[in-house]
Amino acid sequence: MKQIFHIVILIVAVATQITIVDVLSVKDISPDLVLIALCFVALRGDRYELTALGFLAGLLLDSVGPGILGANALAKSIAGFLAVTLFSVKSIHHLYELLGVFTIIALVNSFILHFIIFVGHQSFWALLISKTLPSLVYTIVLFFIFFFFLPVSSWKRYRAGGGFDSDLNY
Amino acid sequence: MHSYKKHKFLLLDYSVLTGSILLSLVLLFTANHSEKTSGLQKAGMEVLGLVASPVQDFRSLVRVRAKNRRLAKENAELQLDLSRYKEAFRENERLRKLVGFGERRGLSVVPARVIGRNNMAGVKTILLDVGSDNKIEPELPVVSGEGLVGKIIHVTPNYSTAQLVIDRNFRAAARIQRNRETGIFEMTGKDFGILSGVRHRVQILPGDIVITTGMESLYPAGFVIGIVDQVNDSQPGLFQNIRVVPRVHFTRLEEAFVVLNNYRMNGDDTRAEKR
Repeated sequence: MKQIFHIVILIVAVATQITIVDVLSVKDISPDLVLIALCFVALRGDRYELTALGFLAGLLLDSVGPGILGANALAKSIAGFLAVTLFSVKSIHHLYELLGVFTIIALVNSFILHFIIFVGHQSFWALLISKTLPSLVYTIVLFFIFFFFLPVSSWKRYRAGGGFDSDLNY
Repeated sequence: MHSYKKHKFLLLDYSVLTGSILLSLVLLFTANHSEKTSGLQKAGMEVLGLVASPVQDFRSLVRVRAKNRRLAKENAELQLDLSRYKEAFRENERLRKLVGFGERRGLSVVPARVIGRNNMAGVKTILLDVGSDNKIEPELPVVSGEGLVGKIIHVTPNYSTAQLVIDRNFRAAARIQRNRETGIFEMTGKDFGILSGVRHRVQILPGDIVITTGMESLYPAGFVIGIVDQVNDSQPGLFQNIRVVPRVHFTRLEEAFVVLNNYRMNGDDTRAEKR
């Protein structure tokens, strides 16, 4: 049941990304709503589940793109895996901690996508600054706004011991 | 027991990650031009189309009142214009007969709603609610009232994806409307494109309109691509560096038209007959 709920959230996020993201776009800079949804699911899902869901959500996104099938699938599956891993490293009591973790995930996701799309392009670095980074910042801002209005109990996470692996999920 | 369970989950985690990465890489390196993945892409488009279409219907409904008011005003203005153009058309017909020009055939178009868009940096496509059931095929040009929108790249029975003019891989033969000088328009990946192949001695001015030539038999002739924004005549080499800003407002684009009989328009009747 939990998994179905997660799938529905991600399908809605992908549909939102392709239908009404133009409403949120500022000067051609658009946020990555699927990544926000993926991280929301990552707070309550298992690592293998999020990796697979990230892959499928990315594949759906890629299906409306021209000839780069696999780009979003790769970026989102790694982001999903990383999200559950990082959210499980330590307890998260404050929104800035959550934001810090999300920033790392968003950075990895954006750099993978930017590299795949623009590798070999003469304006690789210029495009990173003019397109990818603004989009990344915009996504982080939206993530902050979204979680700011959510009840704290929906994202607060307690971890009893130390270590790296996700005891929280098992 | 706990350790066994933990290791089992770890194995599962890393197996799924490795599988996802490998599958993504296989798709990236081998599949983007094959028919099999084209099928996968089509399946994804059908799924997204099913979800996106009702959302877009709702959005259209919300906007319909304001749009009706604007269209009523436009209609009144166009009626006035139409009467003037009818006079000009008749005059044009008379003059054509005088100089022996044949009649230009009109464009046959299929109207389409934009139900989704891919707005990643550098990659710009839209999802249209028309597909092969509406005689849509890959490579057909897509236009709007403002000018050239792009071309169809993927088609399913009910939906199609169009690559936009602002996609970084877009290229088209282009012409300066004012002095008929030709060149190649290509996007830079930023918000503007470059018109290349225009020699230094040709005078190009900011504000000049760049249109399609129709020479490459892909896009119909005379559709506006963009407006000249900056001209750098001082760069070394044979050609000028002309910056062109696309004319169509892609973020506001709600409807477009897929041109069906483009080949005939450009005089390439052999291709048209094959189709």
